Amino acid sequence: MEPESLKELLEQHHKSSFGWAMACCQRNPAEAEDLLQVVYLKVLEGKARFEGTATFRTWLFAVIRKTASDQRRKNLARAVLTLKAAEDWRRSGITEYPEESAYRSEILSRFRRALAHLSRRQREVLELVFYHDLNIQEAADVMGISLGSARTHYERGKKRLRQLIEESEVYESELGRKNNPATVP
Amino acid sequence: MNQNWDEKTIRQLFLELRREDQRHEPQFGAMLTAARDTNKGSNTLAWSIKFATAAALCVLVVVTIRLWTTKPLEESPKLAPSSLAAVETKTEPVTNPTQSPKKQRHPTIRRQSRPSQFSSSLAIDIKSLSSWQSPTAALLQTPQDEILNKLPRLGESLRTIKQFSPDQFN
Repeated sequence: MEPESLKELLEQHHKSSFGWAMACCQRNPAEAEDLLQVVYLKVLEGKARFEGTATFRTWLFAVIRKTASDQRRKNLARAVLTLKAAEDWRRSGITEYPEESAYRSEILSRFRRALAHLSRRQREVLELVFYHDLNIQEAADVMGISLGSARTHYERGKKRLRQLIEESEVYESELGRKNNPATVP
Repeated sequence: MNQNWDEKTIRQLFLELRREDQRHEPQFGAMLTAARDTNKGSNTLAWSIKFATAAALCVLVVVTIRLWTTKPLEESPKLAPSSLAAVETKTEPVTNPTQSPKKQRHPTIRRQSRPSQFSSSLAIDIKSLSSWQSPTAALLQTPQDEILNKLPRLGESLRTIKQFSPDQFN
């Protein structure tokens, strides 16, 4: 494929690519941007070749996912070397940024926290299906797993997400009741 | 949030998430330019690392070749002359004990490789064994040694024999 046509295709899918990169980087915009830069270079320099066996978007998402996985591994190795692993591990569970509370609604924030508590595969399949409107087969192709496995992750992910959000609702309401005892009937 | 929320709710939540993400979305062109700039920088770094590694390897090869070629010059190709030189230096204390020990040392012998050192030390041992003398050997020497170790030849003058005869001393 010509570099110009590749560039056009990349530009066409830039929005969804960034969304998927955000999902792969636990919603960290700076990391997502870096990841996407690496992916675009890979594609344009021919290190990742589109063979046409899947749709361009599915292939691009798979490249983003693979690159994110490689970078995560590199970062982990670096973190271990610099003895930052413990801190990163602590932070990996709940991804919360200082500016978050300023511009995100309460529900969205809760939703993001719940997403962060899902397993990586559950989160990925839900993102691909609900965020990027892929079907489960396409999601399985992106993730490099079988359809059956993707379906299992999808069902379990939905169930767990619901459970997590409900739990946080209960927790929040109990916390509110403690803070405002007058509102308790 | 409702207890009986369904897929529609999840979709709605993800839609909100997408809206949030779009706030951070960088421009495609700017990102591509930044990526290429970063790549240029990393390429330069990678090339300089490769160049430094190649230079270090070259230096290593040159040093190895130099060491390899100079070694046979220091130690002689045949073992015998070098070992003889070693014998000379090492056995000198036996023949001339008044000489200072510093002069006896020879730097080239030290630098020799293991087999050469072994052969030179062997040669020293052989030489010292062949020239070994008992400390009491001098006590066994007498003035009549020549007569005792020598047989008179037929027709030899009596006078020559007589001059060594025990009567001479009487």
